Amino acid sequence: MKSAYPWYDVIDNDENLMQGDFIYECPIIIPPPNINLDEIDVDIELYNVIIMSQSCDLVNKKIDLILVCPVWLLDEFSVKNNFYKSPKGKEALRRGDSPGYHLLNKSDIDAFHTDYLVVDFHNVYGVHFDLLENIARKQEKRIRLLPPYREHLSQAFARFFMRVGLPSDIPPFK
Amino acid sequence: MGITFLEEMVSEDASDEDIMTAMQENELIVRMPPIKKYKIKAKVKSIKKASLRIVEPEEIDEERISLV
Repeated sequence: MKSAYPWYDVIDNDENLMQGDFIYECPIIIPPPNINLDEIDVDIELYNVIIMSQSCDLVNKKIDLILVCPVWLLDEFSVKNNFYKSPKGKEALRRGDSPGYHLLNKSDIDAFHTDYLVVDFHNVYGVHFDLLENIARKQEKRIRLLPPYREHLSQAFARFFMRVGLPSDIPPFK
Repeated sequence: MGITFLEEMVSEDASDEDIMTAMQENELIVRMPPIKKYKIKAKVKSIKKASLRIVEPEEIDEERISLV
């Protein structure tokens, strides 16, 4: 079934960074357990990420660090876990029943062919604005998640972040 | 315990309701490795206390407020 609203757009690298932009192979600096005034070994991990910070904060450069979350192909993701390999696991992702993960649609637009994608809210990284902007400039084009799916992603992230574990005092109605 | 429990339930063809309840009680976390990983040497130039950076709010639109 074709969606009424397009999910993604391909944008030029000179456009401002916005929420929902995909950045490929973004370097994430993993700080060592101890930091002294010395030469230290630092691990760098590369992830494909999506920008989670609000666009208004980015456009007005109100923040130094941009929040990003890793994005995975659903196929890669499900290889790591049998539950998400099953139709029930995938359906749970689609329905938003897994609060830590958010499913994005596949795409067959020119220059961006992808299968379903999973955004991982459990791992949130802060990347310096200038670094992310430099990486984005080096990519010829980039992909942007479009409204209303961008707002849906943001809302899902908020829902994950604000969730509260409560005791189940009221028994289920059978 | 949670993951094993969920996988057992899937293989036993449990109901949607059972699976959703189990997922909420035992949140399933999938640990994905990075695409690539490498080490760099970094020189720590300084260690200092951060200074406060205040972000001022946008200007308030008085006209809009009076309309509300």
